[in-house]
Amino acid sequence: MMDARIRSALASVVIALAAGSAASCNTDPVHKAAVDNLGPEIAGVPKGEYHRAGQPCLTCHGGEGPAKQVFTVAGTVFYGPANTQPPIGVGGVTVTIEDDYGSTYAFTTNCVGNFYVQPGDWPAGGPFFPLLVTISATVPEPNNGAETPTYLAPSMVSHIGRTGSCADCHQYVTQDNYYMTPGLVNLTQTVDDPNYQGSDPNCPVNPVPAGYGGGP
Amino acid sequence: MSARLAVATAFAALLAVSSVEACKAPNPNDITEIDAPPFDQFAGTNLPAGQAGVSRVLEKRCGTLDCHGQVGRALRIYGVDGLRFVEADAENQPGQGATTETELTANYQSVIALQPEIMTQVHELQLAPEALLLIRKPLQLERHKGGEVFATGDDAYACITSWLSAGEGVGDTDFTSCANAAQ
Repeated sequence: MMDARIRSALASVVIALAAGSAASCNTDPVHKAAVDNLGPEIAGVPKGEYHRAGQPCLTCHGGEGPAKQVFTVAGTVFYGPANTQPPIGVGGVTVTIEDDYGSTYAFTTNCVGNFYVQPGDWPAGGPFFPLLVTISATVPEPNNGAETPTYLAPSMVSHIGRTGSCADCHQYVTQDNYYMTPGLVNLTQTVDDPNYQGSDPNCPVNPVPAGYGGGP
Repeated sequence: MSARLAVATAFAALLAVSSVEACKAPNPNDITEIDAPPFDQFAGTNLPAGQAGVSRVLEKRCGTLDCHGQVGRALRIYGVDGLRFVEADAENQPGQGATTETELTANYQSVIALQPEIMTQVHELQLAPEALLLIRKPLQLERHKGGEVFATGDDAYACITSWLSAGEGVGDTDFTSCANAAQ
């Protein structure tokens, strides 16, 4: 007859193993499919702040994995609507977010246009949805051959109801999705410099995302 | 037959009956008639400045692309700033043009058909507006992932509840509250 203490210890081990397996595996097929749909990492672009520009960040960084670093809001800001072939990520853009309680904080995009908000960046567990967002920056504008810096600060027309990934709604417009996306997050709506090459010539990663003609 | 066998047999028979019941296909000839609030006050077309229809409130408060502006939602809201209805001769994109007649009709159908029997009873003043999920969810009387969207007595509440009873002798839709709620 097995000793009661041994049986109890064995049961604890089995429970711990089961819990560990459940925690380490992605058991949600919908989430797994969403992650798989994003495709593999691009060779030459390491995991980090410059990777996967334009993709829905919180699919992996939303707490369900596989990324360990969790974001509450994240996305990519691109240059202009007429300059979307290819889209160019723009750095130095201030992303100002106001939450349901009126708390307002600002974040800055890096040289591929990515920005992210981590849980500790917003006090008391915020931001609390719905959110209002404005992006702002000064960009060069072609003006009769002379570039005049122009300050732009477009705001979202509607609020964000519940998703933390900009790219859940803001996608590259195609014939298949035009009715359900306003397009990429664009800094400029009217200004378009055909010679714009990105905000930082020393950016370690091409600000044109792979898949749109860009690469590492 | 032993008592245990008799119980098992009865249980199996019950299971079989409930399975058959569960697998019955719905009767396509069954019709649920809805006594619904008026479409024209829902759409709110041709109203003067400072007034709006109910659809505009739902578009603004509920119909963002990450909430009810999605094709898979039971309460599915189309609108100029959210999901667009795909029409053969139009390439509607969020943010362009205006909410179309087709979209207003689709919104109306979605709203009144969500709980058709209860919608009828609410419209005929047999039940309070709070009987409808349309009101319960945004008031957080029931779990709602989008949180509290409006409160009892505010402009959005006044707009929608006034429309629900419109045409029943208690006044028309409060279009001014609708316009305020849609800002």
